[in-house]
Amino acid sequence: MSETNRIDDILERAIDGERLTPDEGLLLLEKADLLSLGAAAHEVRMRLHPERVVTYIVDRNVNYSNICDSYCKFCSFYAAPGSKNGYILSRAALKQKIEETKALGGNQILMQGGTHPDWDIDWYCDLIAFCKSFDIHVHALSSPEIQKIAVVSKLSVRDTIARLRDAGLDSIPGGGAEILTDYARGEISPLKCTTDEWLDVHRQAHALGMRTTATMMLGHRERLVDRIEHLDRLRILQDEAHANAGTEEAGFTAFICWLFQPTHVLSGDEARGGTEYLRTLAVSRLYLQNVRNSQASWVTMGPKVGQMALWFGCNDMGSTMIEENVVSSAGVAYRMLSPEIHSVIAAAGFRAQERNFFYEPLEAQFLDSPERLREIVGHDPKNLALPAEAFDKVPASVAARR
Amino acid sequence: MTRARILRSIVTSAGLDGLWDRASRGARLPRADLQKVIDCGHPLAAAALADAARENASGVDVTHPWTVRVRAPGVPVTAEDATRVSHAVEALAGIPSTEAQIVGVLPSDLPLGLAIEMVRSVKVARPDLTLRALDSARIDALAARDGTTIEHVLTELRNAGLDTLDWTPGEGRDARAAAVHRAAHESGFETVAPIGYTKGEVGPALLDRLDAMRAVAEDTGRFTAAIAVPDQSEDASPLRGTSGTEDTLACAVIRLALGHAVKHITTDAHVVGHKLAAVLLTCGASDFVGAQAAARWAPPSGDAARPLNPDRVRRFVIEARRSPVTRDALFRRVEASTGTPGTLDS
Repeated sequence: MSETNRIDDILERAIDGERLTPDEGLLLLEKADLLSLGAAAHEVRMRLHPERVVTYIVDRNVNYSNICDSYCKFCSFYAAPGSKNGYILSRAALKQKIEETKALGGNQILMQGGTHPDWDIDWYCDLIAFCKSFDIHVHALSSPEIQKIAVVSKLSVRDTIARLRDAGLDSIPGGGAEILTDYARGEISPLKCTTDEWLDVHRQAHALGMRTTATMMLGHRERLVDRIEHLDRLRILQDEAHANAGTEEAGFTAFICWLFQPTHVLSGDEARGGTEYLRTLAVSRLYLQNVRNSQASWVTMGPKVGQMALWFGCNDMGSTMIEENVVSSAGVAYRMLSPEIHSVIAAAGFRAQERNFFYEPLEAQFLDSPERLREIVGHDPKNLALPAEAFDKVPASVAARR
Repeated sequence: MTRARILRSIVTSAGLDGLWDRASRGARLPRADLQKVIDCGHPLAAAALADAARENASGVDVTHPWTVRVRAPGVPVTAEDATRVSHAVEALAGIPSTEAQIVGVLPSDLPLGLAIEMVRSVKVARPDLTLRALDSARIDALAARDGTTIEHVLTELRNAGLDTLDWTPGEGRDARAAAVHRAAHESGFETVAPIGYTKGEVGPALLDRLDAMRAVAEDTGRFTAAIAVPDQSEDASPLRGTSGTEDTLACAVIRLALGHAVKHITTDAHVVGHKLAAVLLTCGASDFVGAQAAARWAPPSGDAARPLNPDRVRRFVIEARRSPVTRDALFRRVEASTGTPGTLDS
């Protein structure tokens, strides 16, 4: 069979819902024409979501701290423990951010920080309980953070998650996955949790009945084969979650991939373009058909490529990002308000639908108009929403323990 | 890279099957067919037709200039963000590049004499480079200001060393643009046809402009390329600016409308953003503008996004599974040394 015929065959089988092998996924990444991939991914998307609806969520990325001892080579955001650039958000600042989020119509906070060498389960349970006290969905703490909490607290991963859940943790984001192969992780984040450890956090969370999301950061030191292995590991874990729960309403709710932005770090590397993003996005839709939702990463790619992503397999535009610090620290800071995200989705040929974490429809309130945003969080071109003075420095007690 | 059957299938589903063979041959498509493409409701179906036409015209090659942006003497640089690099005329010597472009906010009452002097000064500084400057509206304005004809203006500028006209966002929405380009061709210039549009205009309004430029292209044969130029930059709010799907559709329709008479369709990273511009290389575009020249490349600072240097543009081209070819302002193939990957000229 010629390569072209083989690609035809693979795409048609994927459209029909058959599973791709890793070799087939790799062939598509390497050789398939971009538009063919997009067309096939869109067919799969329309089979999974026959309605021409694209969902989005109004939420805020809150980074409770930037202190981290993982020292990932790609990260522009972290501050080493003891660094004068480190911060921890005060309870007052957190309260303000959550109340602002709710006032702007948000229904969730996505809260992540770093891996801290000292903070234990009690510290994190207090943090989560405080956030949950505002009656908002708390989507928080990535696998590396949870692994670190478990180590510091001398707890199993499952017990750690159970404690956090009892404190109010609703779901776990897919942050820190980068590329789930030990080769790629060794290249960019050798001190962070391993592939197996990342997956184990999600496995344990799924076993406890929690939903999580899966991510991929591509375009750094990884090889194409790493991207496929990453997708394969996610697919296997999702199968496991479905089998254990006896339902497909379990495991990962969504897959989100984005491009590494090498502005400040890994400066010898060059950012990949929109083509590479859309190609990988489409292959992920074809490969990961047991993960129901695929999210467009307009925050790194911009609204225009975000719109095109809706024709490359995505059924969700992700978050309005009332606040985003991590990607913007790498010099990429697109942002949209919910009237804009509605407009973007409509202009791409779909109907916009606000949702919650579980992809349940919500009635859009449009409380985050530009005027209202300025009124509530002020004008902040860096998208930090709060002035630097609002950040607490590392408490002396923590510094002393180090 | 051969297209898969799925593409033929979506083109058929979109009601465009009858266009595939003609598009693939680079045939002239009537306006009614172009309207069908716009109305088909599937941007990838439109893009697939345009990409087939593009492949017929250019094969695997993607041309790109390496532009040294020259500040017009004595005028501010327009909306210059940190991702763009520009130079004073006096600083042009030795900067590797393949074309020069004059940038900056020119006064609305700029006299022709000063425009000529501006062009001449750049040509004196860099006689080795082809020069792109002044859009069609500016040519009209120069003629009106000096009470002369556009033919006279064009002749004077050509004598001063101008090689081709520039384009600007939204240019071509004015019916005069086609007339100025026709006059430019008759004065000996080859130019790039600007096809301007704004949010919501990818429809009959765009087709009207394409009709006008198509008539010029078929009469003169002196368009080196055509370019889709939305009136708002990538940074505009989505409530005002064009969408990515509109820009994709516009690029595809321009290829299908003009491909029989104009070899290249250009995508300008400064106008649509470099991420979408790279995607458009698979949606009918065969030429990529956006690589900037700098005396030296320095590490990034602040929140500055990375400007495009030739290495990045070549990477985008290769990611599109195509072959980069460096060109000058007149689309002649040139050899150029590569710049070092980096960012701002400090």
